[in-house]
Amino acid sequence: MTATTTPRLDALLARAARDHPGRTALEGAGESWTYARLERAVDALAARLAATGVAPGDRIGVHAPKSPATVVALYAVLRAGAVAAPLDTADPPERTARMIRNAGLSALLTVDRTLTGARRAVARARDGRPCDDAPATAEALDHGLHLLRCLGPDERPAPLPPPTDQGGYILFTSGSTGWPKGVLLSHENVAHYALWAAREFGLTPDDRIGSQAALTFDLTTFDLFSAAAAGACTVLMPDPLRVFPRDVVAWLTEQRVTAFMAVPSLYHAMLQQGGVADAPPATLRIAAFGGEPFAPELLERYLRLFDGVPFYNLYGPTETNACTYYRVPADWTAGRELPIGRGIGGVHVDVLDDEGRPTDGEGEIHIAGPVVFQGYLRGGAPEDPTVTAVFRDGVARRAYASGDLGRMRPDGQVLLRGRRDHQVKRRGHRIDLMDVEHAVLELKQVGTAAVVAKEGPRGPDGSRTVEIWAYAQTDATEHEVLAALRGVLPKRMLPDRVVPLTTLPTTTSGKVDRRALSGTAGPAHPEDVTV
Amino acid sequence: MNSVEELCVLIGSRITWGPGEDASSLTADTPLLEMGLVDSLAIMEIVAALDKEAGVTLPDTEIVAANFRSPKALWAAIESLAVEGRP
Repeated sequence: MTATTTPRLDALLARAARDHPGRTALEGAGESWTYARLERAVDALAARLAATGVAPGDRIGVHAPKSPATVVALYAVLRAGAVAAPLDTADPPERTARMIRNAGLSALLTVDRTLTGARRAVARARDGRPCDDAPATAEALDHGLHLLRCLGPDERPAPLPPPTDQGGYILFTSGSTGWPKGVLLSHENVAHYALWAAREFGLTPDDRIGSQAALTFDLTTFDLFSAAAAGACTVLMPDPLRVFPRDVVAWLTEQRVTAFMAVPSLYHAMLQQGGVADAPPATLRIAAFGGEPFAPELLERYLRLFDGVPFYNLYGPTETNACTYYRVPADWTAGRELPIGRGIGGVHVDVLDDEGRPTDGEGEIHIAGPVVFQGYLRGGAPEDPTVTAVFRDGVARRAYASGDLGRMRPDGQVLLRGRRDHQVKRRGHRIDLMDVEHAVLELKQVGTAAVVAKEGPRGPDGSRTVEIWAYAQTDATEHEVLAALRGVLPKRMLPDRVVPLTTLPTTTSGKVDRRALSGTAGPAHPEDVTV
Repeated sequence: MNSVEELCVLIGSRITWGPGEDASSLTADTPLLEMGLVDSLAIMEIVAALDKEAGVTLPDTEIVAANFRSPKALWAAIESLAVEGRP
C-alpha cells in the first residue's frame, strides 16, 4: 500500500465550496446551486443520514431521476462515509432488486415520483419478508428525498475491507450469470480520474460541463467530480431530451456548455438528425467521447466542423474508470488509425498474450494503477478478480484483465481490437449476452434459448450497429417473449429480435450452435435457420 | 389519420408493453417520456409508421421532446404541419 494524497470525492466539493463559494456548482430542473449552498445541504443531509443510523461502509442506493436533489443525495452518502450506488429508475424493479441484493444495499434514497418503484424493488429484494424495525413509511428528508430501508440493523452484510469501509462508489455492469455485477470503486479510484481529467482539459470555474448521461453510467463521474475538482458548473440535462438529438444540440447552445462527454452514438445522432452542422455550439471548447468506436467519417467531419476544439478518445471499462486517452490530432482523417492512446497519469496499461507476457501482437489489455477497482460485489461481499501481471517494464503490478483485445504500437499507443468474450457494446453500454440469455431462460414459457450478436444494417456513415437476437424454444410469439422480458431487463438490454423455434440447432458435440445462429443473415425467419 | 385516438393506436402498437400493461391504457394525455414508455427506437418506429401508414412526414426539426411529451402534443404538431403544408 502506498501513501496517497488523493482527496475524497466529497472533499473535492468541500474544497470548491471553500475556494469558490459563490460560483455555480449545479444547474438543473430550473434550479441553480452555488458551491456554498450545495456544501451546506450535503453536510446537513449527511448528518441526518448518520442520525438515522447510516454508518461508514454502509451501501446506499440512490434511486432518483437526475436532478440537483439527486446530486445532493450522492454527495451526502459519500460525506456520511457510506458507499453510494446510483440506480436507474427506468430499470424494472426485478433488476433493481438484484442490484440491491448483490451489492448489499441497506437503504435507498428516492424521491416522491420514484417511491413506488423503489418500494417494489425493495419488496422483491426481500422476497416479501418484512424489514424488521423499519418504519412502515419511508423516512422523509429534505429536498423531497425519502430514505427507504432494505435491511434491518441485524441483517447488514459483513463490513467492506479498507478503503471502502470509509465509503466509495458502486456502478453496475451486465454480468454473465444473469445478475448485474456491482463494481466497487474507492474514493481514490474515481477521484484520481476526475482530477486527471480536470487537469488535462484545463477546467476552470468558468467552465460549464454538460451532463447528459444517466448517473448510473461511468461517464458521469467526470461531470460531477471533475467539475468539483475545478470549481466548474455541472449542467444537468433533463432525462427526456437524451433520445432527441435536436434537443441535445439546442440544449448545448442554450446552456453555453463548454465541456461535453458522450458516447459516439450520441455524437453520430447529433450530426445525422440533430442538425449540429448547421449550428455548432459556440461555447464548446472540449469534446470527449468513449464507450464505443466513433464512426471515422463522422469524426473527421466533427474535426472540421468544430475547428480547433480538441476531441478526446477516452477508453476504460467501468472497473477502471477511463484509463487511457488519445487527443485526436486536428488534421486526423478517416483513413488513419484511431488509438485509444496511453494510460492517464499514474496508470499503466499493457497488452499481454495468453501466457501473461507483454506482446507486440494482439493480446488482452491489462490495466494497473490507482483507478483499478476493489472488486465485484456478489451476495453483498466483494470478490477481487485482479491478477498480478509483469508489465513490459519488468514491474509486477495488481492488474485488471479487461477482456478487451488490443495491440500496442511501437510508440506506446494502444489500438482496440474487440472483445474476447460474450460482451457487446450498444450505445456505449456493455452488455453480456449471457446476461440476456439467462433472462430469456428464466421465462416459464421458454425451454432452451441462445442469445447471439449480429451485425445490424450499415448506417449512412458506413458504421455497423450490433443487434442482439434471441433464439428461443417456445410456443410463445416474439411479442409475448419481448413483453415478458421487459419486466426483467432494462430497455437497453432487450433483444432486437426474438425468433421462436421448435428446437435450437446444435453442433456435433451437442452444444447449441451459436456460430450458426449469429451467422444467420437478418432479417432471419425461423425457416432460415437450419435445424 | 383523422384523430388523436387513431394516433394513440399507432403509438400503442410501437411500445413494448410489460406484463400487466397494454395499449388500451394509452390516452391522449399519457406522459410518454415521463413514464419512460418510448425510447429512441420506439420514436424512430413511430416516425416511420406515421410516414408509411398515414403519409405524415415529420421533418427532423419536429422530432423533439416537446412533440413527444404525449399523443396530444404529437397530434398538435401533425396538425400544424398540415396547416403549413396547405398552399
